[in-house]
Amino acid sequence: METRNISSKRLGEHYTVLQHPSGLTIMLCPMAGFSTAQAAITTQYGSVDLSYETAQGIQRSPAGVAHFLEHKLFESPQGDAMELFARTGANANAYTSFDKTSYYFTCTDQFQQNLEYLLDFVTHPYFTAQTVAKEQGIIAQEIVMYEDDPDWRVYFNLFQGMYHSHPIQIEIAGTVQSIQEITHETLYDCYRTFYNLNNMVLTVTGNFQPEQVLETVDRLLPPAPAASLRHLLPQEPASVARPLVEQKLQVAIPQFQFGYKLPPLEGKAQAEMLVVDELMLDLLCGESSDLYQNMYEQNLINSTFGQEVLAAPGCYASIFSGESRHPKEVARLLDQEIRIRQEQGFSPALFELGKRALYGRYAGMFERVDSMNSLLMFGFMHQMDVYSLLDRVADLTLEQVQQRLGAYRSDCSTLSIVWPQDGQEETEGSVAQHG
Amino acid sequence: MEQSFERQRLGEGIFFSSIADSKFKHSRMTVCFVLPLQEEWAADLAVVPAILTSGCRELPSLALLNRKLDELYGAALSGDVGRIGANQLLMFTIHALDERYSLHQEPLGEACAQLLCQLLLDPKGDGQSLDEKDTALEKQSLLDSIDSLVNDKRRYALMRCKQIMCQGEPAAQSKYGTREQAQQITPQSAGRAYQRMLAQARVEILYTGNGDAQGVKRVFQQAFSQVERRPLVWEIPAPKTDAGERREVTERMELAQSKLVLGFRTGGKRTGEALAQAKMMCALLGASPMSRLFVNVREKLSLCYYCVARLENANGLLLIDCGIEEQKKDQAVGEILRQVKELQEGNFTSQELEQTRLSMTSGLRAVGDSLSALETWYLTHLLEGQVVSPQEEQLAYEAVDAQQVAQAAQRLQLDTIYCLAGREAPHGDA
Repeated sequence: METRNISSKRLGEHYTVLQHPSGLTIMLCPMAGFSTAQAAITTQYGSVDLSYETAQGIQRSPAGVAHFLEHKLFESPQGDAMELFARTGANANAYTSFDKTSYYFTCTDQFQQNLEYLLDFVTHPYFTAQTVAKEQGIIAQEIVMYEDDPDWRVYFNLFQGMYHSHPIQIEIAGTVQSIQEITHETLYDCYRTFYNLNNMVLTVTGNFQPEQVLETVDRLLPPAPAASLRHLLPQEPASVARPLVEQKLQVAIPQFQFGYKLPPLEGKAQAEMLVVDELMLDLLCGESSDLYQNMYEQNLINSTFGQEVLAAPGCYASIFSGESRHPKEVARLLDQEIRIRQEQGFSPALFELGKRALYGRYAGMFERVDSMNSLLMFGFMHQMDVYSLLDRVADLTLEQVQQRLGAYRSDCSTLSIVWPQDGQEETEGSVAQHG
Repeated sequence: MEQSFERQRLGEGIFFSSIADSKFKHSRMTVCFVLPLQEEWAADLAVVPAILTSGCRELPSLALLNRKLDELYGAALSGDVGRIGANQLLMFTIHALDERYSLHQEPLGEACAQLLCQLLLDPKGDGQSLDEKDTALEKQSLLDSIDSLVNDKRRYALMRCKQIMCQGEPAAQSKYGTREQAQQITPQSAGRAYQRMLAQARVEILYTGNGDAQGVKRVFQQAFSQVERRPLVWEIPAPKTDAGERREVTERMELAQSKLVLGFRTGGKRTGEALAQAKMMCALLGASPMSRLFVNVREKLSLCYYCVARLENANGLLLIDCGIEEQKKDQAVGEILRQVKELQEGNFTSQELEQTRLSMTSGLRAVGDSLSALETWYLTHLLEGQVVSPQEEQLAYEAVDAQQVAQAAQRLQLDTIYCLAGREAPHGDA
């Protein structure tokens, strides 16, 4: 079995990556002093995988299948896998994101038993017409719940403005209509395609013995058949579909998300660019910046303001968000600041401070059992050593950050706003009265 | 891994506690001021943490303060208002990298403690009033927070249920105070609240992590020795024990999914063994992975995506909430009450009880794996007046038997059924 040990001098820690004969990649990071262990098995199958090519040709599936599978895999003819985990006191759960579906448990006891449950239910699908119909009711309520959630709405509306045809703009759970098209056959087809062990990773962190993992995997997982799978995404132009998307909901203060659509990247290049963008966004409008202070003092933003980078297959965007009575003015100031910094550059002293702060925050991700697990998954998806993220921060140069700013184009941005149901919308000149 | 806990008195009503654990890469320190939650003070006090964490005399702007935090390896500063039962908490926290992992091994713990002391004890303003500009900004921010309570419909419905059910009791009050009071905030009124906090609150300082606790303690001891103290002594009123006449209230707003909340009285606040029994009952009913409500209301009847029970011991309440289609409300209420009755009659298996116990003890063992969970654990227990470690609490759960769970359920009395529903009542609804 191919085995690699990855270590960090800075942190004095290490983890192991194994290529198991079953096809599964295994990543193990025992952490001394912790009581909890977390194990997650993850497939590279997310909500954006609606179109893909296998040996049988090009396939399409309705929106929401990845998420539907996440709900249904817990079931077996004997009952619900949750019941098994409950017997050991473990906490099991699952989630679907744009690019992956992950099943995990955390426990403080009977680790090996729980790992058996996890590997067993994820590799033994069981769907019938009846169980699928029952789940449609639960998932429909989950979808409807998000319709009332302003944070969620303003986020997906942003993607609908930013992207012409990329499926990132469709809700992760699908729509109440699209899930009606899902049958137990759809679930089996997609399961066979995406739950091939060659497409999956097992990540384990915290309080456990590596031998227990290997013994269990050897015993439970036979080699998976070789499979060809290509994820297909529609051609997406560099431009945005709509620069402004607005909706009214029951909120007190308008909420906004303002995003720059950037060229998509893959693998390690994507991960490294994330670090550059994170620092750049901090310098631009983080809490230490003049712009943040000015907007805060003019009451244009409040403490909910923040910035993040979104990277998914075929998508890459930098997003600013928060509550504001004048979201259009906030977007204008952000764009103006980007143009000013493109010309004048960032201060070298503030760059050094920003780097130090980012370093401290990154170091914190390696100290928790759950965040370390997510980091390992990130390492698998991006084909990289996760400790190198910390080195990447330490080695960043002002020139790299400065150069990156050139990619942010005004005509590639979208503003999404959720306005209060009965409130006044922002009008030209309304800020002048306010300031 | 077991942590060591030490507590020491630093001054009148001022205590320093340290929770040592070597496995973390960060340390965390919190200064928590505790005062009775009183309507006339609540809003003025609630705005103080935000104002004080906007800057101080030496670092007078947000940008300068944040650059100082960047220098401390991105130390995270927060100023929050919270509540436990009838107490209002004003909390100031710095979460910072441990010096062992800094690039040049700088002494970060003491530097963070000094910064926190500057923010607390040397604010901008003239000594009587707090800074005018910061007060105006943070007053608006507080008003926004109050107005935005409606954004999260689930939380909003829970709050409305408590307001209706517990009128006149502390449980109905908001940690932010009322909107009307928040509108009256001035630099002078915030200054008076600040003076009250410093002089009269009980002060609990907690340090969690592996850094130099003694050094940190010395910084706080020195700084707080300059403060003139007249600590308040107050009695916490006991929450109501019995349900009144059953109320059923529906309120409407623009939304797609209705939120249903059932409010129960638990017969009063519990401590010790009785509290462990009530927590086990709540977990079995609706707060563990295979709880009765999850298995029946969600999985068997497909009525909702979530259906959860939560115990608010300090207020003597148990609340059950779920998101449903409005026309299925009666069915959901019926099933929830049926499950409560099952527990009251002892109709649950020993396997269910053991599973619940395991889930709770597993949760306790996980407390030590997170700095913030450890801090919350000890702070909550300090305020409840009895410090036990998670390991000790585990013993209390291990002693709970089926009969005690049924008895805890028998104390539940339904008081209010609250529903936050869409604008249009379903057809056939009176």
